[in-house]
Amino acid sequence: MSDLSVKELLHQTTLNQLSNKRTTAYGIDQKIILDIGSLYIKFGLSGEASPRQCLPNRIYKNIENCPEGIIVEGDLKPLYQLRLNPSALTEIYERFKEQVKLIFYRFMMSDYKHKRKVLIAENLLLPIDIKNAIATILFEYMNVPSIIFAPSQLLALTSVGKKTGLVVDCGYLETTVLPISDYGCLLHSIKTMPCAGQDISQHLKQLIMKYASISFDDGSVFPFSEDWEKLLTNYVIEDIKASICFVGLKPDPATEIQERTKDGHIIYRSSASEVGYPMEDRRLKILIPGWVRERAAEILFDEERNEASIISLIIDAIKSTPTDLRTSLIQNVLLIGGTSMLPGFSSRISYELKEQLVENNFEHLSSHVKIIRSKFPANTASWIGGSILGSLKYEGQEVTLEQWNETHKVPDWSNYTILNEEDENNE
Amino acid sequence: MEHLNKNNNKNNIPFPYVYYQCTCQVVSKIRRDIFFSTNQFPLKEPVESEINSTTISHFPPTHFNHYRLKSIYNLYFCPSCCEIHCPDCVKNDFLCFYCPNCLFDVPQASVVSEQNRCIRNCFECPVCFNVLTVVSQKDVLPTSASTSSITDEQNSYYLACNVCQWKSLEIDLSFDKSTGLYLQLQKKESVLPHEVEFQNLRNYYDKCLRSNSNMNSINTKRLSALFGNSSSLLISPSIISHIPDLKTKLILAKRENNQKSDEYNKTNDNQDSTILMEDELEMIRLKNLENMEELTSLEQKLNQPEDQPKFLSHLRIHRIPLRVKLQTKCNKCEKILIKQEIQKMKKPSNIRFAIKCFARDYIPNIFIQQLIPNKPLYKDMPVQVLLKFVNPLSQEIQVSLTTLPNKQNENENKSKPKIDTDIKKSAPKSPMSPIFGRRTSSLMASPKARKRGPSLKISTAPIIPTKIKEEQYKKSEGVSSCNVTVLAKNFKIPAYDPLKEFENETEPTEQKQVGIFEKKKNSVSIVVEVRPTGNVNDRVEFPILVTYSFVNDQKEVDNETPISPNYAELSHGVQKFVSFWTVIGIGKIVEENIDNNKDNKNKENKNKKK
Repeated sequence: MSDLSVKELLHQTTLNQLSNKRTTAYGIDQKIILDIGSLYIKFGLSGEASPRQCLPNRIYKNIENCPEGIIVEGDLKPLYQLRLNPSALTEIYERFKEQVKLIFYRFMMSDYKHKRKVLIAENLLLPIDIKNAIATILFEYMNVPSIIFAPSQLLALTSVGKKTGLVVDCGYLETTVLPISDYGCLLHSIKTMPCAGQDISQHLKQLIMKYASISFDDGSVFPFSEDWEKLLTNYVIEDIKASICFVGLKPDPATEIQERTKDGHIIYRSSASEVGYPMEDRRLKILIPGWVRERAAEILFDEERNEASIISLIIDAIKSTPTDLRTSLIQNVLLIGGTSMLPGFSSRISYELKEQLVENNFEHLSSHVKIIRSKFPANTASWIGGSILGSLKYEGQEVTLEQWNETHKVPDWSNYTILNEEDENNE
Repeated sequence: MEHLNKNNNKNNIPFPYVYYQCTCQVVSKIRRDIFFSTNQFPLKEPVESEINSTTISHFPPTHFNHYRLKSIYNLYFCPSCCEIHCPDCVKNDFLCFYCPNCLFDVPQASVVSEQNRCIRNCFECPVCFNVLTVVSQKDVLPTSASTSSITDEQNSYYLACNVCQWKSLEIDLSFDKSTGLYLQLQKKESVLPHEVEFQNLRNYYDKCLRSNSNMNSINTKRLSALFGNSSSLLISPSIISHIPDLKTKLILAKRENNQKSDEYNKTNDNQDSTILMEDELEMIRLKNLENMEELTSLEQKLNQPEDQPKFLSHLRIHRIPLRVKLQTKCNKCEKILIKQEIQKMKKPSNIRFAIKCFARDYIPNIFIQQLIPNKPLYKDMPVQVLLKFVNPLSQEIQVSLTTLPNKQNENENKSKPKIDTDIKKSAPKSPMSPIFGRRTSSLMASPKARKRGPSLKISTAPIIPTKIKEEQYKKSEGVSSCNVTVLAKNFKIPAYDPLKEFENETEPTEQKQVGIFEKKKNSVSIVVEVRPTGNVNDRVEFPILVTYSFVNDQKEVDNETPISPNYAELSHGVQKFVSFWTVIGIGKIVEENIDNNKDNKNKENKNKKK
């Protein structure tokens, strides 16, 4: 008995402390905010100014065979792909389950006794199967009381205090452009292309294998050969991309393009310096030419190759919105997603957008182009929005555990009435 | 065929192994079957309550991989509901929080507010994530002229990493006092730009929401879109403006909103040029980069998600994240399975268990003792596998084994696969009668069972529509690539007696049962004959249903602390049956010798002709 009361007392003090702290305004429970990307899961508690961690989706090798408490981390691997193979769903399910267990128990988000609601920043075009898998795991394994789904672009816009804007989400799998007006997502104007961080990574890998060289610590230098491919794990490629790649200004076809190879690569001239990326305890370095660093992300802007570029997506989105909104949208261009954190990305977009708008007979808009500056990193923008709104005393629509047990369905913008169909089901 | 191959590839457990199927796999299979037959979503609890050794016997494992099967050392056993549990089907609670560096117990109250980090002087190196130590500037340079002039009051301290030699001086961080570093650090942290911005934003939205809830419902609805109310997502502004009554309200609300949002935007105006400037400057800095010495790695960036700096000089010191000890409960009856001993002082360094219900202490442990002959596996060459069953209980247990019907038998009568009739004769007490063909859908027939909710009953034969039944069998056929014969289907294993642990084997083996290789103190080794029938490179693995029963002969049942695993809820003298499926994998079929090559070629030719 005494033990119980002590526990209760402790719990009470927790609540008191919660209400006193700046993290919760009204003493309402903190929610767990999840931003589930294909490469990183951003998680944390609402009311905090940054996610607790960006958890990379790795392969965990033989997790069962390890001694307790030890996880062998493998290479990075995206949790899901845009093209969803039904047989891959089991793997996604199991991998996400391991990640959720890590988030909830190892990073102490919530346990069975003290459950917390979950707010998920969802990509509006996330396959419903994945959404279902996410909800299944959270409801069945973690027994969360309710899940709130909120569109990530909208959340990102709230993280800069706007209610109208053009959100360009350049993540790992796809690039999405979504105009938002007065907190309403103009879904009919959403434009996407399946070319984003992953394609840059693949491109970068190809370029490195072709044009980079390896220098050993004794000074000898060899051209990069196929044998070294195993060095270039996904983690290494992501690291190279995140630390030394950048986006240069639009290449001048006359002076900067050196050669077009048969397989579609373009070799550029660049004044950027060659950088050695140390590997294997600094025993060797991968010498990456400057132009590779500068032009690896060029595929995002190459309209000829993909039949679309970020700029063309933005212009298409603008074209499909009502005329009276266009000015306010173009004044509030928000870049989110990890890929847009490449240095030079936003200035390239700004310059090129101005140029292309003129070409598309939108001269009047061209002078208004403005890219919103956020104080938060672009890849956590949606998370921050979720954190702000999750901490306010406003209960939006949510899927509760009871609803889930009845229907096993998650709300989707394409069949949003699903939650109101309970009566029909009962008949 | 492709599908089958994929399934085989997913079977990834390295050989040899003895793995166990957890009860939760059976639960999920039953739930799936109910869904397929009734199109309703069964709840977990009613299904769980129907689990007994009979239902388990109907659901042999179909996929032999890490996701579905677990090693005995990863399993728990709930003594009160007599079921195996895996880490996926237990409830975990936080028991105590502690810092892995200073090993101090942290009360739950301060865990949340301190963002799960240690509030004592434990700091993490931002470069290599090891522990930082406090170093006095005076100690390091005792002889240098500049420091000799520093008096005690002027002395400053900094943090240094003993592993990578990083110093907090590199990010211009030093402390006046060697104690209370966290408080000193906190003062600096609270003025970080993202913290300030976050607070401003929250106050702004707070105001917005309040004014809206007073004003009208339209804008509240609109704002509710923020919370995933998808219906309002679809309302485009043009639609709303077409409804005249709403329009005026909306305009009013908009005006209100605009004023507010303008207030917020004032601070952010005119920044397009600056962001581009900053962006370009960073780009140019990268363009002219000489080496990577001053750049951060991906891991370092992810460790600091609030700004994810590109340069080492922007890293900040973090406190060490706390760890937690979990308390594990049974999913079904909430009995505590694992609990570490927590004394009044709550010393986190104490690693003893107060309660531990590991499966290895409750269910017969199965080991592969020997392969006879111990050679690579060839097709159609029978191998004898010695399986050793060890009884960890302090009671004698009666074990009966069942295997899936072999392929030959199935060919004879597909509709009714023959199941070993011996078992029914020899073990008439056993409640389970694993007739695999008898899976009629009782739920489908009875209208009462159609009701959802707790009234749901799963009778002895789980409901499976015929289509799925066949599919399941095909799957399991595809996986099993061997014929298995168990001679000793029933045997007894003597109780485990810790007193006899170190005694020599004295008991003479009594009348020897057929198929039993040897009997020792609390273990029995049986012979299982395996004839691989699959192709080269097929995995030879087969499921065995193990049912064991015991009589609780402990006269006094102590409910509070079960000293021995004596199943507190069982009354004295009652026989209890527990079933579980194990999968035993012994290896891959290899190419046969030169002598047998001819046969192989013939077979290949035949296959080609087909």
